[in-house]
Amino acid sequence: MPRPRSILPRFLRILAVGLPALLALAGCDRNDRARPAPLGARGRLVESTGVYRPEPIGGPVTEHPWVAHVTTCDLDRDGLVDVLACESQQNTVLWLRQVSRGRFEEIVVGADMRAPVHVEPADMDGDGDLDLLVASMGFVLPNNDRIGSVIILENDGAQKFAPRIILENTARVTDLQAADLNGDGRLDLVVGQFGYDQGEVRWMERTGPWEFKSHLLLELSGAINVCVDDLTGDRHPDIVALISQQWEEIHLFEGDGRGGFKGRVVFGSTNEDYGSSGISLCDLNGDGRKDILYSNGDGFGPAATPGPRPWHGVQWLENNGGGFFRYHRIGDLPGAYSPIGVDVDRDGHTDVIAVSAYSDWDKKNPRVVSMMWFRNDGRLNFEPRILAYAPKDLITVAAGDLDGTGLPCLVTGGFYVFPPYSGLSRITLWRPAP
Amino acid sequence: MKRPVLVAIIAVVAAASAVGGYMYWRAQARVAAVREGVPARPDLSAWPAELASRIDACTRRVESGGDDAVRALGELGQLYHANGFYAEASVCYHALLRADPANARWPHAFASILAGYGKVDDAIVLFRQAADLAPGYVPSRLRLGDVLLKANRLDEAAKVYREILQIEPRQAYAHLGLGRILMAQGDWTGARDALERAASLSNDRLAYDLLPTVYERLLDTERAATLRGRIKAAGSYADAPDPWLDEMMLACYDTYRLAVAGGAAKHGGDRKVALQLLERARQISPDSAPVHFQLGIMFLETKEYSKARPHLEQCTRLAPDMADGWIHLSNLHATVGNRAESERVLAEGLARCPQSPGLQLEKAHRLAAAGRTDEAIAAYHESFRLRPDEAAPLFSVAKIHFEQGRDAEGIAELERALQAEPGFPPALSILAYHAITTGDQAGARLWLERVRQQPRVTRSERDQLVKAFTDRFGSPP
Repeated sequence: MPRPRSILPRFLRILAVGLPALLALAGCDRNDRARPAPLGARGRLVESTGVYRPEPIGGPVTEHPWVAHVTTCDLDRDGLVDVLACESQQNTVLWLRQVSRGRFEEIVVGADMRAPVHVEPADMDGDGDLDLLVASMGFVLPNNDRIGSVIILENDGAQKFAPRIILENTARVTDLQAADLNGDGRLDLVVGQFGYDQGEVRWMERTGPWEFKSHLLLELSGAINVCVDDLTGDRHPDIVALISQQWEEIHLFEGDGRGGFKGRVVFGSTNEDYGSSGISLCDLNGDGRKDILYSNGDGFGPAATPGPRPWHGVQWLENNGGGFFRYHRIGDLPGAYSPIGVDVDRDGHTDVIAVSAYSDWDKKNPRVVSMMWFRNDGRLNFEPRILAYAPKDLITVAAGDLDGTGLPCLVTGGFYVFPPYSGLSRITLWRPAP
Repeated sequence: MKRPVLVAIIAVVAAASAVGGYMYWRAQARVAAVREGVPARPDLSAWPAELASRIDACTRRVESGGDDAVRALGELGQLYHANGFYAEASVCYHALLRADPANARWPHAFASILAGYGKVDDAIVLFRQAADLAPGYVPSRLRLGDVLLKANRLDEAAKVYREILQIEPRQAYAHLGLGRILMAQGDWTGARDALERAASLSNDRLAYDLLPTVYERLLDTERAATLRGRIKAAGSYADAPDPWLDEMMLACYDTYRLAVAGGAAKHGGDRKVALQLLERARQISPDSAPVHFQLGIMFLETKEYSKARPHLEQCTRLAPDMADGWIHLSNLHATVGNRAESERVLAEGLARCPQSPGLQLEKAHRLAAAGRTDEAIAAYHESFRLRPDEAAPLFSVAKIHFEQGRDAEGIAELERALQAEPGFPPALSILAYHAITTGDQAGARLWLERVRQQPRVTRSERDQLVKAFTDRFGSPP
């Protein structure tokens, strides 16, 4: 008669196999599988205020300037890089002509513009000179009226400009770019319209010498910037639009090269006070694809005075191809505006510059950074370096070889909407210190 | 003892030891994990000593590894979070996910930080955890829907919003989220229904800005125009209340952040919380003029003049260069009938802030009301000179000219007003009417076209102008 089988060996086997498995299973923290990493630590600020030397150019400071935009280009093609600017309170578009190396003469090329906030050079009529595209808000402070306009200042070849109104009685226009979006060989327009409660992003198809037909891409308030480039790698121009207000989103409109666009969100913050303030395109990681530089620093309202938020700063959306982007924080900068890519130290790596729109209106800190250089160490680690504390309240910065040395100079515009009106600037040229 | 029994005893003892050892190891690991959740202390030298002291106390409790280490780590995370030290707070929350895995507050708070920075993929995971752990806490689900929407995962976002509406059918933010998704999908009728619901449930704080677009898409231009014309600039969106995060602000020591949060709470209609936050700001910084100003304005809005007055007086004492403080204090005195004091405050404000367009405007209004029209006109012009992008002072000058029968000068002022502020509705209407009455048919047509473009000119006003045109010229414009 067979002996009854003891259950002990089976128990021991179960114990031998099961216990470690049980322990292993229990030891594997369920949350570890879904435990996102904390935010990175803040970078240590490095004083680099001696890197650039500021010098006012153009007219003197009167009242409190509202220079909403500056850009650089050789408008008269004399080999010297000039500066273009929008003075939104004086309603003028300015050309700061570099008449000889280092000497600038200010010329009003657009008067009675009604709150111009962006100027962009482009040869719109193909006659070999640069015309100027002007985004006009109509009124800078909050207003939902359809008072915006798109104006082209047509260059007669001798830098005399005649205004052509392309679009008017429309939601306040904040940005525009020229590009051939449908492959017909003619420059079309992309227009960002902030509005206030209702805004738009549209592209305007060229239908005649100065005629355009509008195609709406997005109907949301708060468009601040639009950029155009082939971001998906299909050799067709795409459009990126930054939408602020409560939306805080970046939209990509993938172009098919024939004027068709498919839009989607490539970044969005659920923080309705994130303060989106500007985007620009540059190939930050040198992979041949344009990435998106992005600042958030708009801190107007809802307190009695405008001011910084802890999350204000600069970031980049890495273009991974095919219309996909990955978010990376670059660094903190209270009141951050106007991020641009520029190789400040000529080390072959694109750095990032941004300015700050706020002095500390709460008067706690008299030394508020007004311009920051985020130095790229070549491995996309960005060290925050303070370029300037003054002048304060800068809202726009551009780079260019204004000295003809191959070194990038910077140009900034001062924008002052809130007292105290001290430490003001209008247009400032920042030359690399020798 | 029989061998099998002995083996069994040994096995059981071994198993018990293993389990015990494991439990001990787990407990030690948890203590270590909690300790790892203590971030390096940031520089707090510019902050109130009380914050540094609270942070140090929490840190000590965490590092002691005692029974309340987890609770202390939670407090530490919330202290950092409330004061804007997000990197430090996220280190705490990261550790708490492991140390206190059943508590929904940690994934919710952590996700809120990450979502705020646009890290939506991470936030989705965490908001889902929070929603699973606390199914009744709607803000976690709302935020989950929002981050899914930002991540273009529209179907999943819609599913979350619909789930919320099953729990809470009057949740305006869920209707808003659904409306946005339906807009993106081109379902304009569905979007209209969802957005109208969001608007009606939120007293028009939500969706009012999207509805005109939806109405226009549905060719309902009249309703679109009515909504567009309602206000010059509303911007009335306010974030959804989130009690877990909102209550954290009571541990905030940053006056400016408290003022912003107070402003946001007021904007969102929660006056009680707004007052609480501003009062805390005042306690922390009794010498902050902007905080006194905000408190003063809040009381003015509810006509609690006796409460508003000391704050506005304090504001003018602390920041005599802050013109708005003088304006509101002067108006307060005027409202309660204290005319002499109102004039005195206005005069002192002007002496302190001669470059204030608002004070000049107030002065002009009073001169005009007193019949001192020449002085009033000068003050209006000074106000306009100081703020050349606002039409109101010139409109007031035009009115004076019209009252005195100096129509040409009035018209010139209105035209200047429109250069400053192109859509200024009263100027458009008057100029259109003037062109009609003076027989300038072409000019009237141009002005009426501008009136038509301006939704803030009311329908009845537009109709009257069209009728006047038709009566004058025999055919409609």
